[in-house]
Amino acid sequence: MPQPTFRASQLQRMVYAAIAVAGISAVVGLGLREFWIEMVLSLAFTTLALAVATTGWRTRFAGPTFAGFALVGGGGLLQGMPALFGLLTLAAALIAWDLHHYGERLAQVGRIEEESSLLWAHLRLLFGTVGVGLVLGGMGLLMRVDYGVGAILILGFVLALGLTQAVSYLRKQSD
Amino acid sequence: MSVKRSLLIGIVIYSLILAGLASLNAALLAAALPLVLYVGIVLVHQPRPLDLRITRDLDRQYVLPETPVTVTLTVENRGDHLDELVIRERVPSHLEVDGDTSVIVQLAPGATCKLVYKINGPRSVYRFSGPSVVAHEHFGLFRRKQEYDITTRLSVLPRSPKLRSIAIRPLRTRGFAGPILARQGGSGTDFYGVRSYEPGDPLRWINWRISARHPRELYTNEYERERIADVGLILDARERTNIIAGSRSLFEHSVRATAGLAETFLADGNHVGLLIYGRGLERTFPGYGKLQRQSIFRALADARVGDSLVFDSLDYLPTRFFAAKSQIVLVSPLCEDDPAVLSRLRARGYQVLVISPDPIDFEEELVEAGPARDLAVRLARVERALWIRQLERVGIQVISWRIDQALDSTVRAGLIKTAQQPRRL
Repeated sequence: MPQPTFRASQLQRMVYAAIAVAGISAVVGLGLREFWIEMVLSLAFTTLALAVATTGWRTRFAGPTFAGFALVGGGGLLQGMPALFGLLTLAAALIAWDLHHYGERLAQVGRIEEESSLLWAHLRLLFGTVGVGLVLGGMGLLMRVDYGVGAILILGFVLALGLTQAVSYLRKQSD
Repeated sequence: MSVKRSLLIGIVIYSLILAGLASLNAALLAAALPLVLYVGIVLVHQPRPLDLRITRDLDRQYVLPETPVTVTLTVENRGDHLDELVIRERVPSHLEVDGDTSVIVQLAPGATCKLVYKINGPRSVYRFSGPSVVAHEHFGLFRRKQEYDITTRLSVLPRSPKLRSIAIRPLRTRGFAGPILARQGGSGTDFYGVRSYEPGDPLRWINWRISARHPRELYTNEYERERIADVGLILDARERTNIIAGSRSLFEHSVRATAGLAETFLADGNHVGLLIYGRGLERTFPGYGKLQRQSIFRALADARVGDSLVFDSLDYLPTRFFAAKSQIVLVSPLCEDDPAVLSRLRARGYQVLVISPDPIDFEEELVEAGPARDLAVRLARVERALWIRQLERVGIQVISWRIDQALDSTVRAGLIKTAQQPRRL
């Protein structure tokens, strides 16, 4: 197996760090609300995800890890975990998931032209997107707008419709 | 991969939003925001239809085996900015590659990317297709794949052994002066006979000794005309006669021998054609000189052992391809049906020379030593000797070539042996 290049090892370290951040924020958030069992389960999941990521068996770990952290974060938020920690868990899991796949794409080619600029362009866009997403999410949590149930349902329907279109469009284009 | 990824992120976003709406939990909706933004960026940055100009250049198209060839693939972006473009070359199998054959690059409009690598390989004709090009947006959820078909050929020609001039004596030669004795009286160097003097004969040709015995008549020496000959080379590419064991193949030796023979006959100025008989009939029509050498070598580069029900025996050898009563040189390990067919060829007036790479020696090394092998080898040798004797009896020259020995010395020894035998016309 070829030795990872400097950039590839940097990316791997970022993936580990993102998993660790996702895990810690989930554990701390659940611990703050004294959900001990969930906290222990989250800790176990984070340890498992890190172990799988750091060993050679990591080809298909990214999807289940992302889904697992989405479950932990979403479930925690549903149970009343502090919103900031839930948000952080999901954002960090997204970063880990994206960087893992990016690293895989880079590893499949023999040469990376202008490696630094390519890598920085990706990282800038990823961290920028997630950062803006976090800020918007935070603002959304801080702002208080009162809607009726009907308005919420309509908004939800519009959002769901929009997302359906986006995902089906993506699938069609990918095929 | 990207379909699975887009499905996964879609499911997560859906679940968060639906759970948020169902439980009226704003935190869940807020947690979905980074993911929604992520998908939004993917949609904004999706790659447009590709407009690329791709060229592939080889520094040489005809080379000898194991000679490195530099391949340069140039990709020019004539369309919009491409965030990530993966270019993957399809290198034909059996070629050794030195360098990278795939690259990931960010291509601005008008920018070019070059992929340079070296290849080398054994005798064959290699056909490049591709490359395949995949454009991603930064997050890799959306991709646009396109297959290009930039056809390029690399011919790795066979190495030919150096052979000295081979003495052949076909019954019929062509009208132009050459090195082959034409069995006709005329001007030449070898004494052919004596005839009555005809006005115009050079005085130094007059045979004074015979003329002295006939006071009223003069006699002139005749010399054997030297002409160029039609030579038809036949390379036996039948699977049943050629032994292939892993990377070792008796056929490769036959190809090299054919290349050496073609080179020698063409260097002598003869009119040489090639027929590769095996999976079909691959013909190189007869010709002279360097261009014909190139044509024959290119055909030999592409020569493959093949299996065909029709061409399993030499029965369908297209004799019309060869000039009547010309010289035919067959390069074949021989099999049991061949003597009968070759005898018929000889009966039609063709002068036949068979160069036969010895399959028994070749196969012997591949089989584990033991009494059974020794017995089998002895039986095979007896059988082969019978075939050769059968051929020699009808006047076909057979040169059995042990491939561990030089072809030139084997041919020379074989021709001397044949010359010592009584000639059958």
